[in-house]
Amino acid sequence: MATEEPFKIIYLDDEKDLLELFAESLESNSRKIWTFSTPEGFLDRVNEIQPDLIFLDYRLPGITGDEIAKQLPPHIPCAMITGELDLRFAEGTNVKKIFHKPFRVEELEDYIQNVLANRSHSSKLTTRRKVS
Amino acid sequence: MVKNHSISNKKTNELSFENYGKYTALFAWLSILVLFILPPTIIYFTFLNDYKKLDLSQVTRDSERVNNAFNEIKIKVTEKVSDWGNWDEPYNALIQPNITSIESFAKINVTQNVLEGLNMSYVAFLKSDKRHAAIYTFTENNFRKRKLEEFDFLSINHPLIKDSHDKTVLDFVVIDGLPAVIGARPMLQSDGSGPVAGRIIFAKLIDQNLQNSLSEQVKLKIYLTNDPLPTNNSEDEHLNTISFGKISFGEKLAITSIPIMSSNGMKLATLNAEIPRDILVFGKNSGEKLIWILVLMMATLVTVSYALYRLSGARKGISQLLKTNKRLKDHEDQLKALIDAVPGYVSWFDSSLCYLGVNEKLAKDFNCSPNEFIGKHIGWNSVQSRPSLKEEVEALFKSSESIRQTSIQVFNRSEERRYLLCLEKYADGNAIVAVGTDVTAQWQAEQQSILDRAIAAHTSRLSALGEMAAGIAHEINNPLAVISGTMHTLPKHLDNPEQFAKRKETIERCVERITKIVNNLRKFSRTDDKRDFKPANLAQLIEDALVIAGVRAKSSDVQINLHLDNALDILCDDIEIEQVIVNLVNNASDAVQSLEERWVEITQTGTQDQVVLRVKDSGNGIPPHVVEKLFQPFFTTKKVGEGTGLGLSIIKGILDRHQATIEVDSSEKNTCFEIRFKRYINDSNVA
Repeated sequence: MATEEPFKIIYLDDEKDLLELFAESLESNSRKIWTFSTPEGFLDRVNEIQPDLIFLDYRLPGITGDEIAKQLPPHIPCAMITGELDLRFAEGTNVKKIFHKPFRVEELEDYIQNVLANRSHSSKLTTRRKVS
Repeated sequence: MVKNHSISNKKTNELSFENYGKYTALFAWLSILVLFILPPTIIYFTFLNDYKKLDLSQVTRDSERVNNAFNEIKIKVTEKVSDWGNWDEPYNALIQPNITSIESFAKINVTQNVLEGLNMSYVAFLKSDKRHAAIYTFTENNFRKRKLEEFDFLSINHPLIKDSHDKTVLDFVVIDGLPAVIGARPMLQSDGSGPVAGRIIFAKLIDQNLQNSLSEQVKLKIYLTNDPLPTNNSEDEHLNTISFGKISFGEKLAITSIPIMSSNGMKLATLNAEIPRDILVFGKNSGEKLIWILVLMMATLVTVSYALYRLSGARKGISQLLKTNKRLKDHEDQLKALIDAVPGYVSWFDSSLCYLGVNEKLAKDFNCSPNEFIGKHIGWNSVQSRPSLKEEVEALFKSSESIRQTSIQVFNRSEERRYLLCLEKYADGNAIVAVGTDVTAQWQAEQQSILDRAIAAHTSRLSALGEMAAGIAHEINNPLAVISGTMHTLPKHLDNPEQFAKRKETIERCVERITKIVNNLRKFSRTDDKRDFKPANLAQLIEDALVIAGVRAKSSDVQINLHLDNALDILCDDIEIEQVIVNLVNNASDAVQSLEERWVEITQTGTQDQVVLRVKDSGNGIPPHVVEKLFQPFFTTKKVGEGTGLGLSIIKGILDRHQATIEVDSSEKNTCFEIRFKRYINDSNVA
């Protein structure tokens, strides 16, 4: 078996403490985590990195999370972590899951596993196609 | 509406034009009749006959003709005289007075005098019946005659010889150009016993100045029947001349006594003459008649004039009255229309609180006719409870005011209604008119409006709170998330004191953040109990406010710049002022969030007695037409659902209570709100 690529996760939140905690809580050998505190240049970096999963905060300076999500490549799943009470955004195209702050790390873990599972399933399919 | 009950007891006099005019007109016609028709008629009938019958052609200015006429007459006289017969017997002469001769004699004399050119002449004419003579005056210049008198010589109708023979018959003639009285009187026997046959005729001249003439000797020609009569060539010389004695005048009579002597010296008789003085006045009777006629005419003229004057005055008065009546009627109609047009109940009362009248609407409401109200006491129809009306009317009568206005509550068919009751005195305070209009709808609207305002205020508070809550939740949840996450990873760092300490500090920091916000929140959940104004440091208030307001600013990437002065205090309700600042800063943030340049600048300056707070944002100012309405409730420039528009109106209310002002500074190119507070200085403050 080839070395599996690490699971790439990106987290965008203006709360720097949270970025640190996130990275610290979820890091593992099979994962690579990037954190961003501003939306500036975020999209470019996303295209560069080609993450497997993106976590977004809702309330960001000058823009909301769902706006950013709309601009992201649709095949990358997005989850929102927000402190908002009132979630005004409609179902975004690729915002599959919403987490409320304060979040529990276990919840995040579970979600990541899910996404991983789905991804391997779909990647298996794609691999098969590649071969044939 | 009914005819107004008379308040005072004066009776109005009814003036009937017909009656007044009728009598006046009748009188006027009668007077005209009397004035213009009667006198001429009288004159006509009195003198007419004579005018018609007398032949005036006998008198002409032609002297020759006249002379010839006279000659003829002379001859006649002569002839006639000779017919008289034999008069030898002195006492038994036949009385054959030939009147003709007398008149002719008179005539001759007179006519001659006419020819002699006297200014005024009198002519006696004998009427054809030979018994009546008429005396006329003529002026030489015109032969317009004026009849003076007419006598019947022997008429028993003559006023002087009514019944008795021994009365003297008098007549007027002209002798020697002067008027004279001629009389015939039965001759009396010398012993006074009864008359003799024949007549004594005498003549007396009458002059204007009676007294003078009487003392003179007057020629008299007296014919006695038994005297020889003059022949045709005998002239005056053959006649006896007797002089009058003195005539004495009594009051009414002139009396004289003349002895009659025959030509041979024998005293025949004594002629006693009593001449009523009033006869001596020439033409008196006719004059009297004329005077009376004139008087009557004058009286009639005056009466008719007066009647016409009254008539015209009356007509004017009547037409004025008719005009007034019409005006009154018009006013009455107008009044009725006015009263019935009033959208309410109109009633009027006298001082004994009895109805004088009501309008249609009121009567209809009571299911009566307006007439049924008159004279009845207030409250007679107590279908509806109207206690207040009676009290109000009574109160107004008692007071010296003339107007009273109150609002009363009435339960009308088990429904509460409100009326505005206006009372006013009239007729010198003897009557009151009451107008009641149903203002229930307005009153209810007012109540509703008060309710709406309370709801609006409450809604605004809730809405403000709601707006904040969203932002605040985020501000609390983030630190919470940090705490939660840090707690989760803390075990890893138990044996790394440095890391542990760092984590611990992070947690502490977050807890502090949360606490601060919660504390500020607490302020906004205050109840409605009145809070006292306390001194507060404005800079501190601003900073506290920004804990909350800063959230939205930050999320909209709006920069907040502060220029505060820590030494400025104001007397205020700190929560409310914080609310004001939060609201202004939030508005500013919202306004600039989509602009390129996004900042809010808060400046605080102070003078000796004022503290000035300016909130400026990077916007381009507010257009004047918006500035006008800015502080009105429900006015907003935001999209639907984004703002309630209550914020600024509530701010204004708060600042008004603080006796502070808020204005838009239009001299700035950016949007700028300026608030001015009264500065609070305590002893420890350094200005």
